Amino acid sequence: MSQFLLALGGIFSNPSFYFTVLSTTVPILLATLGCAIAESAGSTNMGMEGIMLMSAFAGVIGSAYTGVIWAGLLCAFAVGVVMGLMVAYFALYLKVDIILVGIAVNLIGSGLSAFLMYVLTGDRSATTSLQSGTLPTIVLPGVESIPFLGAVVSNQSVLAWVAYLMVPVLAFLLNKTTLGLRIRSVGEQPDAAASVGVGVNRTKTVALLISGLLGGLAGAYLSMSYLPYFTKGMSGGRGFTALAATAMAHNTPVGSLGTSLLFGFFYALSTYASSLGIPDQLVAALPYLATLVGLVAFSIGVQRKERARSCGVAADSVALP
Amino acid sequence: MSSEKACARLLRHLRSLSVQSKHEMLRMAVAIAIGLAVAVILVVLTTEDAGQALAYFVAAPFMGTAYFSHMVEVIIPLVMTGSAVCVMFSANQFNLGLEGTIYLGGLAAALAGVYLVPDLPVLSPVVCILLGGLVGFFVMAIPALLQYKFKANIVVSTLMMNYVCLYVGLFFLFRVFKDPASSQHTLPIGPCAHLPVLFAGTRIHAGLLLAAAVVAASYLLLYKTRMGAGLRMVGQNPKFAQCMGLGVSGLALASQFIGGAIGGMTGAVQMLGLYDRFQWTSLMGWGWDGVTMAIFARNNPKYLPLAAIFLAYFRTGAWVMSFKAGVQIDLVSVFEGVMVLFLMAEKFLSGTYRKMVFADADRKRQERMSKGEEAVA
Amino acid sequence: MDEDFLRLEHITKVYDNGIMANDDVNFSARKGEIHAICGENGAGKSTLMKQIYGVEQPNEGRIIVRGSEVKLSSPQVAISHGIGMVFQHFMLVPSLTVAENVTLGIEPRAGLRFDAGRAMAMTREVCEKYGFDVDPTARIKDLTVGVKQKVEILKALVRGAEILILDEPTAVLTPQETDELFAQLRSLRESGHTIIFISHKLGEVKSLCDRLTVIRRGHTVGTYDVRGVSEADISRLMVGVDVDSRIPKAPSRPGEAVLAAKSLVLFDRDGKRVVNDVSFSVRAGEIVGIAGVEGNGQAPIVDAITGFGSSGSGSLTMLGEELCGKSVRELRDRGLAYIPEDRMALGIAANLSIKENMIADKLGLARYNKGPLLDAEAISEDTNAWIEGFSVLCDGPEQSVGMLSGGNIQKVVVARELTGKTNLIVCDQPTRGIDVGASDSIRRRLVQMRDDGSAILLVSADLSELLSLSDRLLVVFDGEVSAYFSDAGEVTEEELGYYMLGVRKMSDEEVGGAYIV
Repeated sequence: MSQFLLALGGIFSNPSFYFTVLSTTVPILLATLGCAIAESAGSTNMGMEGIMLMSAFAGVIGSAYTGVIWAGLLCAFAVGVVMGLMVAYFALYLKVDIILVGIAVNLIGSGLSAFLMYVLTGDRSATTSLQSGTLPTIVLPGVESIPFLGAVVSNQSVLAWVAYLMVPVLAFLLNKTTLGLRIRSVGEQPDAAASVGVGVNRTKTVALLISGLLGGLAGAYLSMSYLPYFTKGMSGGRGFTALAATAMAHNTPVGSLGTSLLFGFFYALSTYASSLGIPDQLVAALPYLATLVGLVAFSIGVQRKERARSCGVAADSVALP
Repeated sequence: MSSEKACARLLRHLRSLSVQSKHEMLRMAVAIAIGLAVAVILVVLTTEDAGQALAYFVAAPFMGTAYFSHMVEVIIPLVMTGSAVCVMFSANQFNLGLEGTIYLGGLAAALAGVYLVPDLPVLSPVVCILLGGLVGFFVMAIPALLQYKFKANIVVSTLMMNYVCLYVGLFFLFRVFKDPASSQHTLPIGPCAHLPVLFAGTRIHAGLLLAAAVVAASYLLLYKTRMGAGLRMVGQNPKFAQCMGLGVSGLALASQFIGGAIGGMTGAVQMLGLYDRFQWTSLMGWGWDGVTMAIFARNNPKYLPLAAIFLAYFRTGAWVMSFKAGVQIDLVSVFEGVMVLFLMAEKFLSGTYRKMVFADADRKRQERMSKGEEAVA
Repeated sequence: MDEDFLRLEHITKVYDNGIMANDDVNFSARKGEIHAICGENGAGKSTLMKQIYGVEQPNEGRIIVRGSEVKLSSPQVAISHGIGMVFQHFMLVPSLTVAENVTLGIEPRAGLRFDAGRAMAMTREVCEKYGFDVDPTARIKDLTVGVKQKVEILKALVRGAEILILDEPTAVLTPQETDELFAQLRSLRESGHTIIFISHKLGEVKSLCDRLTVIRRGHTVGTYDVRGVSEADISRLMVGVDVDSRIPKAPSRPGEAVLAAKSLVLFDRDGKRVVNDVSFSVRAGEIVGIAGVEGNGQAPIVDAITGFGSSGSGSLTMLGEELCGKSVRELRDRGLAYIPEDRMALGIAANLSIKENMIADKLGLARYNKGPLLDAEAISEDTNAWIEGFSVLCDGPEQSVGMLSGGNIQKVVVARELTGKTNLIVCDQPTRGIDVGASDSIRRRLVQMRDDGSAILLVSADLSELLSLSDRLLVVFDGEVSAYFSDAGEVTEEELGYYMLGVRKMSDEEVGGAYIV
């Protein structure tokens, strides 16, 4: 036991652990923010997984074919936006259930990225034959020399910085701008929004577009920072994780940061688990279990609040609920 | 002569269909056409010998016994998970947790096949499959009860359960039941635990019979029993179901328990039919296939066999195309995804629907008028 | 005529389903008046208001605002002409603040930003101008109903509305809140606003309004100066039976009491007392009618009997057994049949077949089960007979119920409910919105069931239906029984109107006669 604690202490006092936490959090955070803004507008973006895959692939291809890494990023961006609009078109205008749109988009995203990978590169599982490069990392001159902190934050990818910056940006967007106000009103009471002339479908489309854009960033990070190439199915369920993180965070950007860090923390810990002598699989299961617990706790809270409001008279329905 | 008669009968049947179902068929045909068109265009644009590739895509199951056998193998999990999703979706329970039940059901069956009943003739696979079903039942009960008790969002909680199942399964695979001689799998299951091959020279195993039984049972359940009628009422209009004196939450839970049990059995059947030892290191995707199947079958298990044959046919085609013509097999996911989108699009071809309704009303009016004239005459 | 701020001329509105809601309606409102619109449920008031607010468009007729004809194609257009509406169901976003709700859609901006300060100021300014005491920073979900309503009015005012339409605004308010609202509306009138006030409550109309227009069955009866008419006059103008469609029926031969409510008190989900000390009984072989303007306690009574009820006190028994705490299944097993008011929500599952809908409450009967399976033959046999017997017009038993017309849908509901166990039949608006033929056949069916010994409780807004079907009749007003007639045949609709609208009230003793066991 003491040995275990010692090993744990070793991990927690090692700055590279925190570096890993921050970098594994990035794709989850971007995807979570993307799901959060869509969910704020009342649209569940189940297709995040597919969006991430397609843009991860587009980023690699764009970068390898042009030789300019930023062109790759632009490609990832563009593909994310297009996929977001595709979700909007089918869900809002052709009235497909949005969960099913997500499932279909995931099918298409995973299929098309793998299909095109082979067509364009001849690789079957990873684009290792391409020289696609990685996005630059940022070395902070002063900060780097600070003990501990320097090792944690310095050398993170530029996209990591963008991701963390996106938290206040999105918080500002949702809470302080006209668009954000409209997005929230459309998500909560579409009738009320429509009655004062706010275009419900238009607002939702914009939210899904931003969601796609963030998904594009998440994909780009996966294939252009986290790994220097695209692999088949590399999103690895992070899109679904993002949905859960969003639900736990109650769709707020700051809350999304918290829940994403929780996932990042456990992901990172699971890579260190072997040195602890505890099974890494169980550590890997922890964030998902935590989400289940979080969901339950969240809904218990909601129920309590409701009960408190209908004070006094218990409105107990006689029949089954 | 007889074919003419059949034709006439078919025409009569088509004419007797309501406008609604006629339009539904039209929409389905167009959706399939769009899906096929996308697949064909992708192949033509990217493949040197597109003709040959497409030939494999559209006709592979008839090009060899092995291919045909592969198609049947693919059908088995499709119809089983399709049944599970049909039962859950019919009661409007958007439960996406089959992946996890399949994984743990497969693991449980494998372990039973290794340690519990490795060598009971006939009984071994039965016990293994039942155990798999039991595990699926309990696994699915968790998110179902969380939703019932705490209103925890079923989509999110089942997605999370899938990963919990995967990692818990991996833990048992790697840490507890690993074959000491190797790193990636359990010990081989007992000789009797395998599902027997039905037709010599193929890999078609006895799971096919179980799959057929499951489809039939879920069809009977949903459309021929009291409980199924209740499930569908809950799915269509829970307040109405309550007004009719049904236990709405109980039925909603039951549909998920049944779905979970079928999921667990699917995992077991796949394991015992196709593998010697448990070696799955990721979720297998059959659960998602179940959703696609339910969409194609409109939540009615009656149409599952047809839908499964359809999907399995083209999956086999894509599979053969991948190693014969070098077209990546993932093409088939694009094909299916596109079809799902158009199949479920309420507003897709709605203009045509309106025209059809008006035409039908006109026709009926004319019929009435001509009848009226006859009566007067 | 030029002082008319808003004028409607010859408005006719026919809905797609063929129901004529407004037929040649004329109406005008002056600047600076409070103008009441009175009419029974379904008289066409809401349809008329929706056309003024641009939600619906008239088929014929003209709408004239400030002397020039306008086409009000959407609420936005109506708002731009200075017309605002406060719906009964508030159109507010609960988690946003008052200021955000008030300015949603016309948000003040500073660059990309939502200018919260200006929104606050705009809200405060209107509040001050018209004397509203509302905190712009409060969140809607924390506010009481009365304040929410003020926010709705503010929303209209901030957009420059000069005409305010209020759809039964006092239905959800406490007496104090009502007083406050009236004071506010009067001060708005002083500042030159026109208020269109839709209400059933004649006392309120008398005390608040300047003029009133009465609508009956889609026609305008006339416009009157409030000072020139009494409550009794208004009631007479509003309530009237157009065609006498009496169903022939023999005198009832009542048996033992099947349903008995004694000192029944019921609360709604917010804890508001909605039924207060109501006692009545329904005996086998009789039809007891409940008349009343909607929202005076009928719905909670029906809910309590049919197992959808919330809490309360007093006793409610069926054949001697207490009903409270029983599940719907248990109630149905004891012989409850229920024809619900909202047939699409409670009466059918639209996508299921006629057959499945007809058999829905009888799935547990031995006759329809053969081993573990349902007996398809028995079900077909019976449902075919019912389709025939209740003359449901359809393509066949497999057709989706949702494809049928309203009248035929209701026939399916009635067929199901009347073919089960029917000790007590609760009918809530059994013929609302359906054609004459179907209504007539359903009414005859109910009389038939009465003669066969069922106890029937009939809640209806259709007075001619109530008067022709009921043996005994209660009137509810404001959660209490305001009148009881032991022989419904001798009541005139005029008399009924006085009690329904609260002009008169019987003594407790007279009303106590409703409870016979």
